[in-house]
Amino acid sequence: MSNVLIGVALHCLLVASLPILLACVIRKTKARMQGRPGPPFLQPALDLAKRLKKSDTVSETTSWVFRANPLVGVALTVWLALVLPWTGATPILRGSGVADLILIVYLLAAIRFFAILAALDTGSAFGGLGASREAALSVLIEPGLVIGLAAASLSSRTLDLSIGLGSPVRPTVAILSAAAFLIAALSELSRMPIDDTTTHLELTMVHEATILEYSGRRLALIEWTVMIRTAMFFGIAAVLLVNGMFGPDAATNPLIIGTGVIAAGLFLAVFEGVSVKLNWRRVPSFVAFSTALAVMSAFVAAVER
Amino acid sequence: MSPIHEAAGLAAMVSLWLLGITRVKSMLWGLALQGGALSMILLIHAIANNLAPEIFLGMSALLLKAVVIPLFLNWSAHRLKVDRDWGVGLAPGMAMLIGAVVLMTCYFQSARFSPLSVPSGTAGYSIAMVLIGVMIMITRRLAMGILVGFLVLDNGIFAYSVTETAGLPAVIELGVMFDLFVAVLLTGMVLFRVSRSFEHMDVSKMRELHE
Amino acid sequence: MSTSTTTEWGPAMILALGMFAVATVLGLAKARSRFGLVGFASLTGCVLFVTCAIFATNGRIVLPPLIGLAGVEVAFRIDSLSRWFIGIIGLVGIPVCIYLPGYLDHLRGRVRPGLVWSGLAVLFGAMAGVVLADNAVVFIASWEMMAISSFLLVATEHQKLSVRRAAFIYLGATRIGSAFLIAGFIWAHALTGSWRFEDWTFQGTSATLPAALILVGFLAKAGSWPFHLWLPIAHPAAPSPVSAVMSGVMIKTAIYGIVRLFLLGHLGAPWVGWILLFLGCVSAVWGILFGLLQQDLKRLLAYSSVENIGLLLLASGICLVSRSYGIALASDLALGAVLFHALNHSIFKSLLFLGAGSIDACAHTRDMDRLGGLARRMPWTAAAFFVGCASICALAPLNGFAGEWLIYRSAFVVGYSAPSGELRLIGLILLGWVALTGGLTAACFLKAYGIVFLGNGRSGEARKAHEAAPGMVIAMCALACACIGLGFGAPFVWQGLARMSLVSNPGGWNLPVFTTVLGGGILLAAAWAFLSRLERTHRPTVYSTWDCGFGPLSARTQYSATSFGQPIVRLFGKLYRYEIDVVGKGESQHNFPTTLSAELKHESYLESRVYSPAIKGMLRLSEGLIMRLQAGSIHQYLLFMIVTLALLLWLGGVI
Repeated sequence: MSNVLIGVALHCLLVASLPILLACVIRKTKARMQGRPGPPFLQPALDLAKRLKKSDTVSETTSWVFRANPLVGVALTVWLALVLPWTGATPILRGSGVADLILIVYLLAAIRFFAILAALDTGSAFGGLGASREAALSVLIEPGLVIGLAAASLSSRTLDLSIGLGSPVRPTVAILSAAAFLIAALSELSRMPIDDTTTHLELTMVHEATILEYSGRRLALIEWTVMIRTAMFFGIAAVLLVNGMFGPDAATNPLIIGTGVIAAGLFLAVFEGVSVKLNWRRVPSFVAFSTALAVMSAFVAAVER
Repeated sequence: MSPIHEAAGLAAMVSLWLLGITRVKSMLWGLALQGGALSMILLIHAIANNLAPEIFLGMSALLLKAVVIPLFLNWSAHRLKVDRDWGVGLAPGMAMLIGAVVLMTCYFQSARFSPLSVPSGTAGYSIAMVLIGVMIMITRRLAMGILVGFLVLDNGIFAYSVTETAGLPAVIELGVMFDLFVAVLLTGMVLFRVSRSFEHMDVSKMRELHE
Repeated sequence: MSTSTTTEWGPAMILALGMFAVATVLGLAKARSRFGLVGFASLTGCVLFVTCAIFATNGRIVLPPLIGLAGVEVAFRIDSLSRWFIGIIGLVGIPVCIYLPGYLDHLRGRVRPGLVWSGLAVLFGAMAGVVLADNAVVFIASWEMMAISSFLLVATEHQKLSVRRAAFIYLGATRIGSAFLIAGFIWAHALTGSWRFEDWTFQGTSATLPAALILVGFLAKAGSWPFHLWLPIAHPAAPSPVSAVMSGVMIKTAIYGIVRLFLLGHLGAPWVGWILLFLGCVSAVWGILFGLLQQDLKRLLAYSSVENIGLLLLASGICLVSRSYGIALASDLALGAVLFHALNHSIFKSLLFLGAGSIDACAHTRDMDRLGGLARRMPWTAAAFFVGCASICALAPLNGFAGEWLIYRSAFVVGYSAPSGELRLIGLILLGWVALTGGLTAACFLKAYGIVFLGNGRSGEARKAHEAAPGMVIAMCALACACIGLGFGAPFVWQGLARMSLVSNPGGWNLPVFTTVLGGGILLAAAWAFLSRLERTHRPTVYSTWDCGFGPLSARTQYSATSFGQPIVRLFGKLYRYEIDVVGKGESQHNFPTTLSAELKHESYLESRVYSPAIKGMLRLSEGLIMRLQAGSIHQYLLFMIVTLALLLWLGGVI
């Protein structure tokens, strides 16, 4: 019992700290990749604190959706981070079914639903642009996401990810699913090569265009949400990979997974340093890799039960 | 599952990957990986049964399929300044998903293709590689891409002969392999000629020759 | 199951049907009445339906026949399945009856309210007759009444040419469907010698052909691909409350038929399962892809009905296929999914159709490219419509999610417990397919809500819109509450299904909805408290949207419905030959055109390649052959009669 409590406490601690740490690592590494010294290591956290102190500017066109979006985003993301087994420690309510794959996917969809509506709510062309692209991306990634994770949890016969990801999975399935999941995560998180988070040209934006109208506290909340989501997705990919390569014991070790998440962040930063953003029209072919990998993973999982 | 099965599966999935990418350099990496996986099948089989000629065959296949041909093609691609092959018709992503369906269907229909009484699925993988090779040839625009498709097709036949039959005599295998190598060399030469005389290697523009 | 006992709930059911008969007569007699007695009678009937659905005991009701029916009883049967569907009819019927008076006000001068009421009353009674019918004859009689009354309702605004055209296309579709259905029923009767559904047991494969005919009849009514063409034509033409009933409930009677005869009856065979699975998969994606293309809100909703029917068929397919492989859990979950999703879809789809009606009534257009910013003009409608959109997008934990979760779960169970690798793979791929549908649905309804209710009004009508009448708002809010309630109460619904012994696995629902709602709710409240604490000192500044420094934005710079769907439509462009031609005119056309025009083209293969040629062929045939037969000569007609009589006598073995 006390083991579980310690695990849960550790999980909560990691949920609070790891995302910000990851954001700091990515920011610093990216700066180094570009040959700049970059801002102080803790700048992302300082930025958050600064924005929380500032008041918002809200467009007069907007309705309650715009104001509610950051709150819904934060609440659901934190909830997902608490119940999903992405840190290696014990998530809260482990095994009770709250981490059901389909529920998770549709909670993510709910976050996206509000984000897209908030973008349309501003009545600006950029908001619409970001919104429609975001919706198209979600159509592309959802099948791969569901098939891949379902294939990985096939051998444990439950859709509950908090059990499925921590039980033995065939290495081939785990690696294929993890690869599929990582590609899907790149587009869900609007990272390179789908979307450049640092671009200043509105026409090439996806995620940035949807939050263009946010400022102050609500922007801070959204940024924090993105940080948690990034860490969470990398964490799940890390859990899958580690589970496939070293078995479930390693996959439930917070130290290994924590290192894995940071390593994934480093890798992402290096990758973003050397890659270019894809032409929007070529994105579907890129995301198709995720779907194809997931289908292959399902194939292997189904054939070799 | 046996390592042979895994290696054949890997080779088949690599051909799927080849179907979905456009960068010539990555395609050659994929080709090398596929050749390596297929040679491994031969080597595993040979070492397990302690067959000296097959070990030799496996080593030469490894050398040829995984090293020499990709390197040669890489060199030609470099000289021809071919970087990417945007396909014709089908988008690469869609082609890959269709290829995945082909692959899975072939696997489940293995019993139809295999002469063995207990099919292991490798026959399906081999046939899928042949079909995906053809798909690559259909969907590519540049001569280089079509050549890669042809090599995938050949790898499929190779995989079939290695996994499903008792194995052709080593001499014939070797002969076929060197024929293939010569074919690749010749195609390379032709490509050079084509590129020199038409200034591009776009097959879809060669129709103009008729007129 | 023996249902020879009569039920003490018979009188209540007869009373409910009688209420509708009264309403029909009253409506015809007092064609000007907007609500009055006729509305009250209909409302009472619907309330009685819900009461019966909840409390009635199983049993049969046999009416004394008014005329001799060759030994066929006018018999109704109440059992769990018909109670479930009677409940759906009543649950949608009540809000529609509340909504209708307000809506009829907006149609004043164009329609006669009493006629709409009586048409609707016939429709309700006929639908109840379909789901209560004990034998095929009563079923067909009710089915035809349902078809005719809905045809009349579609033709309500018959002054418009487009409405007349839509009504006739709808009539044609129902005729073809009924023809198949009647042929199938007669065949089944010939094989079994009984009109009663429960006597229909077949030996060997003798059921194949009647099953195929009946299946086509049901699919045509349900609006599955490739029989879906009438839905996007008929639904927009009908008045919105009628579309709500037709899309929400009437097409579900076909699902009822499929469940009664195929899933729970003896007509179900593995091949039916595979066909349902295939058609379901195609309809789901096809419907929603075309939905994304639409500008007319009601057409969008109609296509989305095609999608949801697809999901229902897909679940029915999983049910039959997994049963034939002995995967009891999956087939149980899939059956539950069919029933639950049928209920959910009727609730949120009728909500959305009523919402579309309110928009049509208050902003005078359904063209999404002319709407916008209605959330501020019509806050209550917007709130209810929001719940409907969120629910149809299956956002957890609303009711749309509950139904889809069951579908996912049954596919996953197939994925891990099927005996062969192929089947396990199919189960997993189905998960992805449903997810694809889910993603497309989300995009489609984000477009519907985002373009219509958010941003700035794109036309004068939209900027001058006002909130709908209180009755309309109450009806929509009630449906929205039902969406939320059914979502939160999903575990209880599952238990209810188990108690009605429609599903056999009481523990099939293992999703902790309450924990999720509680957890998410606490976090949301915490976030809200945190933010409002921070905002106590610094209120948000209200300012205009970022305009790049060019001055006030015009409403036309916003993304329109067409442009919102563009990225996805382009992705699947090959499926409907999507083309966009941008033509620039002016001195330097390429870089600085003075006028720009864009033209969008798309083609639906099914219409242009299959149905149009078929209809043209029919017309040519009728012009060539039949016109010659109909020469107008009475002698010729008499000859035909004699020939026909001789033929019949010969067929009957008399000659």
